[in-house]
Amino acid sequence: MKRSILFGRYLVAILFAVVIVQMGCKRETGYYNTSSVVSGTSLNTYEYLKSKPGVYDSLLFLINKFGMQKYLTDSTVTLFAPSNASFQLAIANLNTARKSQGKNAVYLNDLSAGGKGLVAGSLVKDKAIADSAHLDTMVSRYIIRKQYLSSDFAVGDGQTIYSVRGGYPMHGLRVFGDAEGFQGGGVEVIEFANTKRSLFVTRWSKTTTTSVNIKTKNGYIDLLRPDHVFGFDEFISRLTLVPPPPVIFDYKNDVLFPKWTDGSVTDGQVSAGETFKKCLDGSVLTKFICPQSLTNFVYMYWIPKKVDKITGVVSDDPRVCNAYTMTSANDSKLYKGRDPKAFRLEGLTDAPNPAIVPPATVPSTDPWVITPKSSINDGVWVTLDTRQDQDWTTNYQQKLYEFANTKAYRAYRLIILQKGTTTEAYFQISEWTMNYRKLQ
Amino acid sequence: MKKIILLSLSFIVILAGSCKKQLDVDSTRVVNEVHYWNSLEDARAAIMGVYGLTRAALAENNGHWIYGDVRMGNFVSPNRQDLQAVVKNDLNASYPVLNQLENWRRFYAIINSANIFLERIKEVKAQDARYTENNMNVDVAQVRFLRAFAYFYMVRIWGDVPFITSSRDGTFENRPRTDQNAILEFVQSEMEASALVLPYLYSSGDVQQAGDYYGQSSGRWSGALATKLTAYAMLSHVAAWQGKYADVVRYSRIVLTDFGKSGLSYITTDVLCSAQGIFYTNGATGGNNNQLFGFGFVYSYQDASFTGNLESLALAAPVVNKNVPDIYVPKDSILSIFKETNDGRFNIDSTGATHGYNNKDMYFTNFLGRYPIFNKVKVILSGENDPSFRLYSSTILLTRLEDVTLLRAEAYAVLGETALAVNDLNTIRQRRYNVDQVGLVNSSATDYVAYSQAKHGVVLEAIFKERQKEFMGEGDHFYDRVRYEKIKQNNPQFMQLINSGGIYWPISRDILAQNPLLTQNSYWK
Repeated sequence: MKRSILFGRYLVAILFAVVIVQMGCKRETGYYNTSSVVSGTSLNTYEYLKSKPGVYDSLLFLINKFGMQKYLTDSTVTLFAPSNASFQLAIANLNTARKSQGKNAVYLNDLSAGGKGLVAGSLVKDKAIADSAHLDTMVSRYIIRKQYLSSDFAVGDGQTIYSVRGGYPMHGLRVFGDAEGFQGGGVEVIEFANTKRSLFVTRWSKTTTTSVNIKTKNGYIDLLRPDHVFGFDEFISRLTLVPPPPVIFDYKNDVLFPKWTDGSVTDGQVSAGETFKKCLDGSVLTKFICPQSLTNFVYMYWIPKKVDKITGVVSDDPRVCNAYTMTSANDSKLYKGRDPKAFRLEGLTDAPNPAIVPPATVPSTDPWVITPKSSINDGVWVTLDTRQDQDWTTNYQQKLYEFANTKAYRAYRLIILQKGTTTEAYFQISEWTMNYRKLQ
Repeated sequence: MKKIILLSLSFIVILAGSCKKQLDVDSTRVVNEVHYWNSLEDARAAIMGVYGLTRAALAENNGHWIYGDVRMGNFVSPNRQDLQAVVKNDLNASYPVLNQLENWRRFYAIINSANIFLERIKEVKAQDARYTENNMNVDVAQVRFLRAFAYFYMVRIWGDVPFITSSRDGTFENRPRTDQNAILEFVQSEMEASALVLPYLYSSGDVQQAGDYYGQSSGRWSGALATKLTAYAMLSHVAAWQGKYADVVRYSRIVLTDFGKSGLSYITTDVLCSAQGIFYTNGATGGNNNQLFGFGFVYSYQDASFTGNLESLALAAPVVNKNVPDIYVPKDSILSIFKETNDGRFNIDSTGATHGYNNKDMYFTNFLGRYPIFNKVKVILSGENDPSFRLYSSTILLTRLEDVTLLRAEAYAVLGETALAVNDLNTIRQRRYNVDQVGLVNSSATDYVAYSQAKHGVVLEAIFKERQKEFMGEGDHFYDRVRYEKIKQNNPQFMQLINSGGIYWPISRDILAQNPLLTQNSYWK
């Protein structure tokens, strides 16, 4: 009997000790059940931004400038709000890029001005107008049509959402952050992506939010991380790129064809898929390749045409042209010898000049000529532009050549006189355009 | 009731006390001095110990990079005040990392173990017939080299340091500081002596090292041990630090003539920056001969580390899951350093897009983000692209063929042999400035932007600028800068720093308290 009591005492003591030890080892609960800090506000989205001075001033500045207040006050929208830090980063990046080109620094105020006060029609004005349009585009991508909660992005791969202006496809996906080393154990955030209209997720540019689902009167606000760079990765390229003047090819009606001094050469004889039309298809990925030598020039003809809407009659349509571009091909780096080195642009005058015999290099019978009037043999070829020793350094490199011209010619031709090296048998380019820059 | 409480208290003691047991066990693996120095294995363990201590000395607190790259260098730190103090050369600031970096104890650990090795290795020779004369000679040469290297490294950091070349039977008596020039003379003669004995390669049938070194094939040793050319390469550094540029030419010529014998080659920009490039050692297929003098953390030998490498300082998102890097190069510094076009390491076009070799990011990535990430050294795990686990295995690289080439260029430039200097500089430029504006590599090896005085300035300056770019993140920059300023002598502020001892580190308070014979460097008093 005594013995069992003793055992009982031990048992109680052990249990007691175990309870104490257990209590001492209580686990922490972790941070993964966080609730959102800001749940809602009685303001509308625009007023909410205004109520945070020093945080969203840049965004508000642009919204005011581009007249987007109405979306944030009346329409039902979801706003992914980039803070001032995002704009600072973007502007700093732009200005380092500008500095390396020896240009002065610019800020949102200059960029959004839209060329106010500049001379109309000047190049600078055009650029300023384009800059503010680009900013408008970039801002509008943060304002999304309809209301979305983070839970709306929880299923599968999330969902595509559309920007308020232009309906540009953006994408949202709910993910969980990490907490205390627990992967996916943190708060819920939205991965907000610029899809660049691509199906391939690897090409998207993504960022994430810090806080989500802030309810306002007319929608939700999600706050973006301060290290997000405004404009995703497009900010600098949009604001520094100077595109060539507009192309004036009318691909539907114009007549475009190649010829060679050596009449036996045919288009596509080097590679059946890499014909002349590949340099007119708007894709640098495909190219035109053909034989060329010092005794066998390549002639690239362009005869502008128009079609009468009523009668359907095709006739010549002389156009003014003062620029042209060429783009090197996909493997120009490897075959530098195939790049155009020296070339001449010629325009065909209207009045036939019997004194000048058509160059012997052009065959007299031309299957491409549609009307007798536009026969390329009854005018005079006038040299408009000549270039020598052009050096192409890489693949897909576009070069713009401008020249002074105010006259509309019936036809143009670009003659490739010399390519990179004489030892190389072929000439190649991926794109050729004729352009027209509005005169100031 | 009382009894129950007492009993339960004693059980608590038992339950809680049991956790400690494992910590009190004596190691069964440690051999004491009496039973040591008997066999070939003891010799192997001892020499590997000297290597290990050297690596530890360089890696501790990421010292190698903080001494060489962070101090008054290209990097700044966004969030670590201690590193920011080093950047500003405010070394008396009271931070634990600085205090530890001021302490030279870990270098004397190398020296002590080397001294013991040199004194007692004869005992192994006497007792173990497997330990050949040749093996011993090679071992001794390596240990002498490592000891000399430790002194060289210390002299660059502290100037005059206590000079100890014997173990004194384990007694650590206080010694005063010895003049650094005397130590450097010793370093040079020791390195020269070991260079004569060291082989070009290990386990590769070298006349000076017959058979497999410690029974391991050449792949195990390549890039891991000091070779003849390692010694001559470091000798070039030692001579350059002393300003003996004629010696630099003499030593570096041996490296640049015989580099084929050690399996060395000039590396492309791609190899310099890729995850499995120059900083990577593949344990399975054999090491990396191009690591002329390096201390590896080889992943396949379970040797990778969370600290003790540049990655733990410089990498952050998007390369690894870490928000803010400890150190980064600010954007305007990057643009001012990498001003030249056609550089495969870093290139920026007018639209702000960056291009590296083969149009991939090389030195820097995330350039448009908040912090540009210094991406040159990035051996995550075994050189993988996995950002989730921050375990790194890059080698601490002290010199490589490019380094020796540029050292010789520097020496020629100082000696007035401009044409030869340009030649050596162009050897490097040929492999770095060989891309076009979008980073595509020129197909011809001779198609590169060669040095020209009109474009790149005086040759000496071009060489140092090249060094700044080529060895960024390899712990060389501060010493390069000191050499440069000593040659140019036109920067009064820096000359004042050199003349007053400000280029050295202060001596740790702990050491000054221990040894009354020492005095603090005058600049830091």
